[in-house]
Amino acid sequence: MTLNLEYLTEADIESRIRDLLADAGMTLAELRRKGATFALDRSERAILDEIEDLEFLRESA
Amino acid sequence: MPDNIRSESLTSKVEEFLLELFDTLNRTIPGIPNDLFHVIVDARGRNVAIRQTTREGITLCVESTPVLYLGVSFRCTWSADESFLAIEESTFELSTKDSPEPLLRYDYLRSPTGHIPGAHINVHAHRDEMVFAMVAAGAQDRGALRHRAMDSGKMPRLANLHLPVGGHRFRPSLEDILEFAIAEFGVDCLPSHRTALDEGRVRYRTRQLMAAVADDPESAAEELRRIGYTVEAGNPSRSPRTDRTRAW
Repeated sequence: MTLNLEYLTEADIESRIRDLLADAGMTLAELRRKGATFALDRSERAILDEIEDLEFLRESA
Repeated sequence: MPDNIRSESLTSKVEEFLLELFDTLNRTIPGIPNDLFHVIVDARGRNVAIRQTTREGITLCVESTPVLYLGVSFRCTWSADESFLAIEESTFELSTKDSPEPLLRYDYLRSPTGHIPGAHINVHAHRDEMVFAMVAAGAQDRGALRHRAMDSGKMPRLANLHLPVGGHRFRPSLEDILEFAIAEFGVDCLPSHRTALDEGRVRYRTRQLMAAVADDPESAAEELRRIGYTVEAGNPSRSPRTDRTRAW
């Protein structure tokens, strides 16, 4: 097994969230609204999950 | 503790946790990649998020044809005494190739909000009678949320229900979900799957049992005495953690 682990600073977290939102082409509110009704495709859903992971990290930063 | 020692200790705990997960999956499902999980940690080394590297999830095949995807993710915190990773949230999700909406989703939330059970299943299916029962609940408790949703044109769905599954300590493990997929959907598995699932389940349940004993040591001691062990309480004895034993 390869351990693929990254430590992220607050700036890294913000930058990744910006990049993911650009990939999705939606605002976070729009992603969340569509996510709540399962109106996201698989890739958009994965982006929302990744953003929420980053927000979880940000809670500690 | 210096930051570098703290980080090494956290990294090794994450590695230990992932090795167990990887071992179970790699001995159960064919074709598990070596870089299955991606882990991100905040710079202070406090919060950890673990997710599979492929966005669609882990491919589950039937007779070598991809049929289902298994999503696995964890959000953990490094305990205050830096001895263990506490699971804050976990999700095991089964979905099909063609629909982004899961079939089933097993969630665990250590601190749930909105009067839902910490450990629960959402079943993404439809049954008219269930919708009828949900509407008939009126605006009591979680029914109030549904009423607000209905006011904006959204009908209640079975998937909105959070079916409780054992609280903090007795919730299903990843091994249970894998075995369910093998038994019910005929998912391809390796000859080593039986041992892998049994060993993983024993490991998980032993850990959960130890945590349950710590939640209610007096009940554990009473049962141990009943079956012949000699157990003495420390001084002072520990009170039960009712926030854990009462939680649904």
